[in-house]
Amino acid sequence: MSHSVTNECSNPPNLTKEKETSKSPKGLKVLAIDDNVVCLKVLGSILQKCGYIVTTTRDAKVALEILRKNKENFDIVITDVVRDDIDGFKLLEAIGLEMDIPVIMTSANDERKTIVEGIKHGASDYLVKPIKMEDVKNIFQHVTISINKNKATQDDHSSTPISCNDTNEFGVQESSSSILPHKRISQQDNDDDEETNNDQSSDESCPPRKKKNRMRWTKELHKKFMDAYYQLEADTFDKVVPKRILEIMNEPKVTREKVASHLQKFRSGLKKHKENLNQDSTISTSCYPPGHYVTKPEIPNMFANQKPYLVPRTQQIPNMFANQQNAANFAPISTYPRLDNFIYRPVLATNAISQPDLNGLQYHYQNHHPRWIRDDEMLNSMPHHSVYLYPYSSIPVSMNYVGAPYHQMFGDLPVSHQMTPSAPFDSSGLVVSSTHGQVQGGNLVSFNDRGVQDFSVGANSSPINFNGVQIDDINDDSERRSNVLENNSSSLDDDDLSTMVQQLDMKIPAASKVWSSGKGVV
Amino acid sequence: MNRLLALLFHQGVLDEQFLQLQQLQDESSPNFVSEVVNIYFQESEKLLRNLRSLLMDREFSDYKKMGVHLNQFIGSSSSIGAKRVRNVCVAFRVASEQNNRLGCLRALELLEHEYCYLKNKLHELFQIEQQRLLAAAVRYPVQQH
Repeated sequence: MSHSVTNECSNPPNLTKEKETSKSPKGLKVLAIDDNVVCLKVLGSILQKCGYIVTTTRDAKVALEILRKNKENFDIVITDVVRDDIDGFKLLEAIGLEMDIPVIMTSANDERKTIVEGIKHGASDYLVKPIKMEDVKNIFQHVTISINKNKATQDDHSSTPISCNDTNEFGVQESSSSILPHKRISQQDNDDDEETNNDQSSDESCPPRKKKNRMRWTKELHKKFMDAYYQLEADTFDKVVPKRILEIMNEPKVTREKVASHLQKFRSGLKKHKENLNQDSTISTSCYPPGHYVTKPEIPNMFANQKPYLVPRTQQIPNMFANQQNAANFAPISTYPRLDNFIYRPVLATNAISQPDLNGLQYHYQNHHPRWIRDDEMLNSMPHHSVYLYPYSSIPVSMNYVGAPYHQMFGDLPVSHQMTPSAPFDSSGLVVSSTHGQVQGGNLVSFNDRGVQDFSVGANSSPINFNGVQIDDINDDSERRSNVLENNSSSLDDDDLSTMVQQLDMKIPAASKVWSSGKGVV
Repeated sequence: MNRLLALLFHQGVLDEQFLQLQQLQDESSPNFVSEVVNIYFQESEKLLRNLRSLLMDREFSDYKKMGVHLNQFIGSSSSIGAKRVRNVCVAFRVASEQNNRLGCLRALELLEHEYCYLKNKLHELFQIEQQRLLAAAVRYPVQQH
């Protein structure tokens, strides 16, 4: 509420340490930015009530100026997302670039898409309005986390190949302006690099970047690895060595040893699946020279000969867990046959999919019946399909394709999810359902509606085991909902690829359970 | 007064966020709730006007701008705990994302209705509070609710 911009001079470096350690949640200095006066007033009041020292402003430009002038005087920034002047994300980036202050986003928008985007842009937290006292009480954690983060990267320096700067936490946090921008910017560069890779799969859960104790084979890294692998394979036939991969990958953070071990795991996984394939496949892969029977250029042919699954499976299995976006790269849409101006894609036959029970699953796990399906057809029938539940049986491309709207829908989900609970209560139930009914004309909404039911039923009735799914950064339902599949692809640790494949096998029944129980009600 | 509050809660007009608002009111800000609510009324009326003009003015309404307004409306409504207004806003936003003009119009009507109801009730609430304050002849704010 009050405009209390304290005008302390910047502390001398030797004092900052003391200040840092003696910092209690009470004295935390918060800058709150929101162009919504009501929210700002409430937020400011809550912050004050929590004992924080609050500065509030409606104007993002003013906020930036305040921050630039005395960045030492703020420990944390809370900003809204939707603004008239500067977009909240841009503000977030600006703050992230210029100073090392944790930023919390707030918005009335509770779509998963926006939340993920906010976190990706570097927000420490994302609070959905209304902001509650409890939320705000805990924001001091982020200040601590950001301090710890700097500490952690420092610790990592000795044990992992990930390079980091030598600035100590306090140097970063407070003083020494010469080091500070350098550090931040170099970090940001890496982030940007990853960001651009991430763009295509904007909705996937992003791996936590803060914990880098181990070398993580993230999607991006694995994609680079795969690209390098196939490039080398196509060029040199069987002469894929870690060193060359590393050169092509051009990732300073990755060492040759890491690539070597990853390559080994990748190959053993590949081999295993080749064996599996030879056992049950009807088409012989021996027509290709061993070791590189699947390379990128083969993909279009493979669709032409009507046996899309058998060939790419060996290649794609390790691949598609690691990144769906890569899978998309392998066969761009343009390689599909074009008829009647519609894009046809191979999708599983509808009837196979519409048997949600386990037997049905097994059945078409073994017998892949590809069918060319038109784009618009697919869109119309999509709510009834659950192609994404069967990553094995649908080829990765179609999985990815279906995946995109799927995320969007679940991105929209919380909107109607919010409304569903309100339906039970007396008169307002009327209100909501009537408005809801009238907007059901659109496909998306009606699906959302159903989607909500799907999930709630599934969640209540069946003990779905998400354990196989390695969830570490998932704590809200909306993420869990859409992460049934995604988790596999979120990051490829140093685990054996083949165990991941097994995990997926175990997971499919669970996933189908969600679906089938949901379907029973719809 | 408590009965009125209970009624509003029961109807789903208000939610616990309003209670938080009341808790925020203390000696340092004796009229906090009414201040915030009054700002809310001003803002909301502005937003409602804008929304109506956006829907009425042109054949092709600017749904994106509408979404921004609605986002604001949702934010402020949820901040003061106006639950039903917020829910209608959410439905409105869905309709605007669909470019569903008819849906938007209906939602706007509903929204105006809900808003008026809320405003009347809150005014009533404040009046009762005022009277109680006068009756008790005290100048400090009533703590218990």
